[in-house]
Amino acid sequence: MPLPTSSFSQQGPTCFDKMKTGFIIGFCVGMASGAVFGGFSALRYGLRGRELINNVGKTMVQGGGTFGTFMAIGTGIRC
Amino acid sequence: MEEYSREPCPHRIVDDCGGAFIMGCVGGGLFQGLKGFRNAPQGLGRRVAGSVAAIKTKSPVIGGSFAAWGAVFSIVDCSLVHFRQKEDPWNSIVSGAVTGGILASRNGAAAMAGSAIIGGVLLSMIEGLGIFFTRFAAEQFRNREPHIMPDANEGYGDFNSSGFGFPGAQQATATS
Repeated sequence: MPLPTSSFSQQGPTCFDKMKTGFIIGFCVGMASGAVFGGFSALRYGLRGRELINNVGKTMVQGGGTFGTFMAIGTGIRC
Repeated sequence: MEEYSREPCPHRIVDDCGGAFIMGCVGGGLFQGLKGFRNAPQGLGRRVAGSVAAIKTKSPVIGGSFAAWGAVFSIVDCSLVHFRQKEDPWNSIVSGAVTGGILASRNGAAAMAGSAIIGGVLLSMIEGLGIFFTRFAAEQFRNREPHIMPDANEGYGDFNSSGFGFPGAQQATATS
């Protein structure tokens, strides 16, 4: 999975820039996976309406935060 | 994860295993440190001690899990690269599914299938979002559309505004 370069300058992106990009990608993946798996679990428990939205939303943010943190650390290792 | 900085196979297996272990240790240490801090008794000294104890206890276990996942994933990925003679996102997606299935094999066939699906879906999202971000970054460097020169339309202004008028048309019709 290639990480896009955040700038077009000669020196290239700094380590911190790469980690930020890694966190953003990880956060998006975590949000998406939280939506898929959290939605599946919530629907299986029979949640509907506002309770469903709250539960899936919380799962999405949790997944995004966790996965984003791990992706940022992984990107930092590769700098 | 960053594709162009990975070692070629088979060194990639060792590299990915080590990288995954560090990722698990650092990330797991981060979260377990927070959890240990919150679950410790009152007092800053005791909370810090609880945090350190949790990191020391849990971090290697989490790192080991990540290393196992990374190693199996990389072995399957390198095998696919060898057999297909191709490196593309499908290798990662299939590797994610196979890794999920293998590592859940102790829990039975149903758990294997579930974990394989989860692994495949997760890697699909990672690859998909990676491709999307690459496109987004490339878009910023695209050349703009050339501007249409406004002077080019000046010569046709009178022609358009007159409405194709022919001065003698009405008189000719009246005559006939």
